Amino acid sequence: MKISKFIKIITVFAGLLYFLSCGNVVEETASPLFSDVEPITANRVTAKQVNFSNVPSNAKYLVILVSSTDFDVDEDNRLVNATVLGGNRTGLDGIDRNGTSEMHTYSGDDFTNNNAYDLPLNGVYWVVWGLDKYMNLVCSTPQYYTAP
Amino acid sequence: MPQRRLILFVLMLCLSAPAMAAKKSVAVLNFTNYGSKDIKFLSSAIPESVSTTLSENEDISVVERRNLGRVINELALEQTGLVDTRNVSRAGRLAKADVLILGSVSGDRNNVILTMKAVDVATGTVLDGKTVKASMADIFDKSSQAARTMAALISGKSIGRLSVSSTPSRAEVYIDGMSIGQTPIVEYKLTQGKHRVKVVRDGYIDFEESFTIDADEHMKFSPILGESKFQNRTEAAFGVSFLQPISDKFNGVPHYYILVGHTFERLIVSGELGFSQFDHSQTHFSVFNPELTLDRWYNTFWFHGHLSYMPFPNWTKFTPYFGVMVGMINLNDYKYNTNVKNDKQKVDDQTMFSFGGKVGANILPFGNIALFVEARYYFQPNKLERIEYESDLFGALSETQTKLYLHIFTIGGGVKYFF
Repeated sequence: MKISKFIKIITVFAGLLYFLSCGNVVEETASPLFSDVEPITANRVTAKQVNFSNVPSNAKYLVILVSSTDFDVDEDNRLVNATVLGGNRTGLDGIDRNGTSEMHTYSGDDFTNNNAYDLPLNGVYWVVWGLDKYMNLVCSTPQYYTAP
Repeated sequence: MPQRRLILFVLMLCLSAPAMAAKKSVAVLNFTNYGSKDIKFLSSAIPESVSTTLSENEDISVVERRNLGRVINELALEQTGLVDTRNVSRAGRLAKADVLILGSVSGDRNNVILTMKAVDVATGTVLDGKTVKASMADIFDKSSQAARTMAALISGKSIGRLSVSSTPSRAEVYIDGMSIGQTPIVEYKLTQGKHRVKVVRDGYIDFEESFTIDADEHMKFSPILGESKFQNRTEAAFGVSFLQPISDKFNGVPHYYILVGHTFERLIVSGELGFSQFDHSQTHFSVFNPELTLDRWYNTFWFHGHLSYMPFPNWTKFTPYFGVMVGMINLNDYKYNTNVKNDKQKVDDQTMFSFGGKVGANILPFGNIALFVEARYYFQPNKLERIEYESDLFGALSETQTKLYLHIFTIGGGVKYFF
């Protein structure tokens, strides 16, 4: 009887500890894909609509880019080995500081402004970043990926 | 009676003709030495040379010098005594010469001064005088030159006259490289033909001119000598030059420099330190903007050595010069990261050899100060490597590099101070 009581106390104590530790865990947020930039966030609403948040005022140009491969960034803050599927950028239809309403396919060196690309729910890597008027990187989301 | 007079007249003509055609005879006596002992031999050597030169002239006859020693001994005259023209007529008659050449040497081996004069035996008048100054190596040539002129004058044929005055006066006058005295020169006798006159005075630009004089012609020269204040002087200058358009990126950019040099007669040797800094822009490929223009900034430092030549070192309102330059130029390339002027990032740094040429002029001198204007052309034999950027969909700007020869043409000027 005494031993079972002791075990119960230990179990409750351990559970209490676990409960308390779970309540104090800070959820990790992923850092921007590019270095030395301000963090922004984005979330997929639909295949065409992605909302942007916290875009700084000096960001003049914005890009959302979707790739089938993991993004790799070199020391010059440039993407290497990206396999671009689609996206959007400032200067084409359906993108502003708040998000996208169109997503375009990619051909050659640029998006085609045809609203023919759908951002899937999962299985692709995508990121949003912003440039100032001097074409300096000023903000970026982390790399987003949802496993299929 | 008229026939007798006619016969007498014809006889007189026949008798005078040989006289008119008779050559003048010239005797060259030993010269007096007033100089150092090592040039004493010239007192006989030069007369020997002069005698030989005179004999080349077909219009005069030269008395053999071997006969002259006996003349002097018979007269028991010191050589110096013959300089006295009272003895000239006696010596001339004994030598059977119409003209005696007398002279003296002075100075030393490096600077021999020879004076000669041709004296008419009959009248005792000096027909011509020459002063020759030369080194030992040149004295024989110069004395022969003087002798040829004398020969022509003695013969009395084909003579013109030259008068030379100058402003300022007391300038040394040279005829065919031989000094004839200082201005004013009045009716100097010259043989007919081509000659060259030169008028020289310290601190002034030489006057030189070739001319042709005819028999019995009186030619006059009256040059105004220009002052040459800036020979062998040190100069310091501050200048600014403006880059002329070689592309739309560098138009009108000012370059500042200081220059220190020294003038050696017509040559100017100088060194220059300069710098320049300027904003410019470059247009790049961008997917966002067909002609994306980014602000850039250069600063440059350079050192050049200059060698210039002034063809006319006359300190007037306009003194032109031209020259060459060689040196190094260091160019630093920056790009702006933001619109804050101090927020620049260095993207490249190059040092290159630089060559060039210039033409310019000092103008409007006032005291020791003058303005100057210059046009310059620089060329760098190594290509300038320019960093250019492209903006695409893959993050930060990508760098590319272009190479081009840099040709720089500037126009500018400044102020010089002469020490």
